[in-house]
Amino acid sequence: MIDITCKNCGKNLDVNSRFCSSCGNQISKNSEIGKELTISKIIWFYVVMIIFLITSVFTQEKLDYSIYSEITFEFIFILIVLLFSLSNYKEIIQLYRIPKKRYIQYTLAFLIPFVSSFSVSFFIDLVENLSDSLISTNMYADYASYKYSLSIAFVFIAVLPAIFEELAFRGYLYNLLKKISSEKTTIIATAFIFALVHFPFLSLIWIFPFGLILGYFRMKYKTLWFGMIIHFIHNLIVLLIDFYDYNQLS
Amino acid sequence: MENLIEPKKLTCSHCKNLIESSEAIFCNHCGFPENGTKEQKGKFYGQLAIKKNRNIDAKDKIKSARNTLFILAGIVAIFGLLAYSTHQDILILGINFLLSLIYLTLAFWSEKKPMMALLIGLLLYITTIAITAIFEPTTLIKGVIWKILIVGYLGKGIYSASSIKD
Repeated sequence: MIDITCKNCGKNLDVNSRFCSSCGNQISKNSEIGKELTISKIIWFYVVMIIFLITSVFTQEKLDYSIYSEITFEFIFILIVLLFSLSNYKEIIQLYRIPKKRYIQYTLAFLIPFVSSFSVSFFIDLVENLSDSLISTNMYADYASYKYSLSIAFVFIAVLPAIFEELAFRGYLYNLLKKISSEKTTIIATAFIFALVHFPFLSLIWIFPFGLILGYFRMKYKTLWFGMIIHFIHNLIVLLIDFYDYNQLS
Repeated sequence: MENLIEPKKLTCSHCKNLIESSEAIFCNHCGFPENGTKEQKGKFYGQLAIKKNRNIDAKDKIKSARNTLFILAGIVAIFGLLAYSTHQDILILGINFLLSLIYLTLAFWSEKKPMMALLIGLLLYITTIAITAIFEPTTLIKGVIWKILIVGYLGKGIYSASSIKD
């Protein structure tokens, strides 16, 4: 099977060749350079995300979390994700193909978020009861003062993260990690990094397993749709629980 | 009956893998100039020695990065105990122990998957700096030399791991 060409002498080579049989040029050296470039891209993507998150927390604290600052920072986040994804759009676009009629998988995609969201709520309650120093983790509370608070929270908590976090982590980041490691390692690494950017370290306990599920669906069905459905329903249920809790406390 | 004589298969005298054809000068698996000149063979062994040294150097850097993860695990655990003795907050202790456990897991995992384990370790360390800075911005400057050293060791480990097979 002839699949690659030596860049030095132009000889056609077997796909498994590590050296050119005619001039001795090392073929695999390019993949080493490619690996380093991929690692640099991953680090840059993460550093940009972290800088963005710190800036957004600092600025929004100063602006007292107005709806305008919320929209501005959400817009910047979307822009960052789209700009990074643009460099990998050919591979990412393939992930938006609607999956075939897979009734079991669709059923699972609707059922899993019920288990995950109630587990998350249970863990958060448990952690909140452990200490008084924890800042309130009620997601709805940040939006409660706005007019049409539930609708705004619905867009910012359930809809946008499901679309753009999936694109960022199961799309762009997953594709990069896949280039330098196995699928299994990629799922673990994506889930871990996804959990890390959600900041409070304790959230790793519940976001990491959730990320593993999302990563598994991405790997198995090569689509972002299942991930987006699971992520959307999960966030929506957590929001509704928080909305209920907030009103009970009020 | 026609007697077919199968052409003799050539094997590389260096790596013992099959050579694709008798016309091939170099082995396409290890690059050894099986049918090359004396100079080419000498050059091959010279490059092999350089590569071996580079691999030893890469392994040293990975080892240093792994030790950095072990040290981080220890520091975070000790810091958690100190913070607990001051504030009596079980949550702070829990978070520090969880972090310590993650660094420890990554350090052990780096024996099998050095590149990925060290990469995650670096990202975790960056996140720790970022989260601490949110609560106390001055911590960004505090111990900046140590932070650069830790990032440097982990970074060198990652890129060294990428040059050898993960």
